[in-house]
Amino acid sequence: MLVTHNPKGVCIALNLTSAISIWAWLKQGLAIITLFSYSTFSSALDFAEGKGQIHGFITQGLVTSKHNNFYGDSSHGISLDFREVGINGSYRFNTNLLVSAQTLSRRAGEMDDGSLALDYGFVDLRAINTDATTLGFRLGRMKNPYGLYGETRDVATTRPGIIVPQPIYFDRSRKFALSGDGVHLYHRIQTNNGSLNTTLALVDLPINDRGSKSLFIGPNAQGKFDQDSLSKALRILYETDDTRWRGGLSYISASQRYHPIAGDINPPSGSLIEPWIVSLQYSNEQWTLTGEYSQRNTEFTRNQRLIADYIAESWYVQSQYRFAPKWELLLRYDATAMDRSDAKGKRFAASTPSAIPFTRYAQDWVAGVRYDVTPEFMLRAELHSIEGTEWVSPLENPVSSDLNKHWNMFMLMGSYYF
Amino acid sequence: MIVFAPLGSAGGNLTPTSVIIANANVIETSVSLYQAKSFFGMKQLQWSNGKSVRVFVLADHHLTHINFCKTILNVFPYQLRVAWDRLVFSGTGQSPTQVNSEDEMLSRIANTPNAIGYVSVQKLLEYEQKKTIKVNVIEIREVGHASDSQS
Repeated sequence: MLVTHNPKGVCIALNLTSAISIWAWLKQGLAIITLFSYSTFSSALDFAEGKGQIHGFITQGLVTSKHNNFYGDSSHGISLDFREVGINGSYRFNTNLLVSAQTLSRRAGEMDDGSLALDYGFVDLRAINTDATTLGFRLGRMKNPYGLYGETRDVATTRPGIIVPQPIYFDRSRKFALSGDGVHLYHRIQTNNGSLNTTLALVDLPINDRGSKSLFIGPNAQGKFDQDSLSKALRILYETDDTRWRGGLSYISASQRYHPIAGDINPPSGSLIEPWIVSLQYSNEQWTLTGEYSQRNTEFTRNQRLIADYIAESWYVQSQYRFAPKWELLLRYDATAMDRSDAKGKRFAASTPSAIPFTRYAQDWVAGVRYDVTPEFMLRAELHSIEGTEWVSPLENPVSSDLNKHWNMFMLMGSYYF
Repeated sequence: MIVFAPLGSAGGNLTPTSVIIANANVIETSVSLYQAKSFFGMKQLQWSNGKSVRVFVLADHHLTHINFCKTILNVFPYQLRVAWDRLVFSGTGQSPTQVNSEDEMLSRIANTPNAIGYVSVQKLLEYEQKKTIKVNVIEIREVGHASDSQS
């Protein structure tokens, strides 16, 4: 990572340094492309007559921002602290039994430290398996059924942009909505008109990552969250037979108990986080238009007394335009308010002397482009113009008085996958 | 210039020049459109006799693949890719096996029990004349019912 101190008046020097770094990064990227184009390692690894498969991905991003930090120290030059490496294996014993697992190392500034973790690992058993109906169970660690992009949010090629829409797929406390240990029940009905897919999850959703705790308790929280009971999640998605329309509803209810240790200042004793999302997507040959709207009920209690209670409101609309083979344009607007009854944070700012209203909301205009260099390697560039800092992490922006209301980001990314 | 593709079929003005083929041991001679979509979408995993389906596809940019997706399945190639990626990277399913050419497609289908794939009509005729390879052609039924061929 390159950290350049950026005192006022040395913008040209910074830009030159940035340009050199971008060039160095591109050269590295080109070397990787060359390497892969000579390699025979160009598609999925199948074994045992296709029953076993190995897939993976490696993604490197670059972020530079003006004023606030995202994915590293991006406001003082260029942050390369954005890397995702994953490998998965699956084995189908027969049509009713599948075992799969993925390990993931994700580095995203201070929000994710790159340590290797089991992303998912489960046994999938089908009880009914006909062309019209599928009914099955998954046991182990599964990705949560959350919106249109939740399950594969860390796999660059499946994302609609360099980053997922932060109002709904927030990175700063991402562990909460990411994956859970327990059981999924899934059901699929196929008719001539379309397919209806339902997933019901009963899982343990730990939110003991630094990002979540720094947000819910404070930057130095050392205690531990525990589940009151298994979290419940439900997603129903319908897809029309002509695959033009997809849409549905997701809901999660996660209730947690916080066990403080000495040093926590006035911690809550419990929390309830309850998001629901409505999703709708239209696709034709050149366009994919997507919109998701979400409300998230959040409650904190201390000794059985409610101490905070608000409903966050988040949404985005997005268009992806495949204007030429291998090319795609992205345009997105996303918005979130932490408390929908105080959308601009005015009441919040009035209640506490040092409180900053724009930390309670964020609105982001995103324009991006994707270029598929080969079927296995893609490059992306993206510009963000943002008002508000609701989804930036306090871990990367520890001094709230340093936050800026209006800010922007430029991101580049290369991703190889097989 | 921004042009919206027609809302109707994915094929637009394309005429179907490809057919679904299967290994000679497959008893089905026809499938409904949604069954075909489920097979190639890697959602339906078995034939009506309970045998595991083995799915073969060509590369996303192969002209026969594009023709097959748009005129037979009525989907766009990128939609299949998105669906496969979603299965593969959430662990909930697997991707089909990709072959490098139509010749390889025909030989893999002929030599793999329970295999399904597709090929251009032209290529199929070429092989039928040579009588070197035996595969079944699977037709799409005009009207399919959900209860047609449950296992």
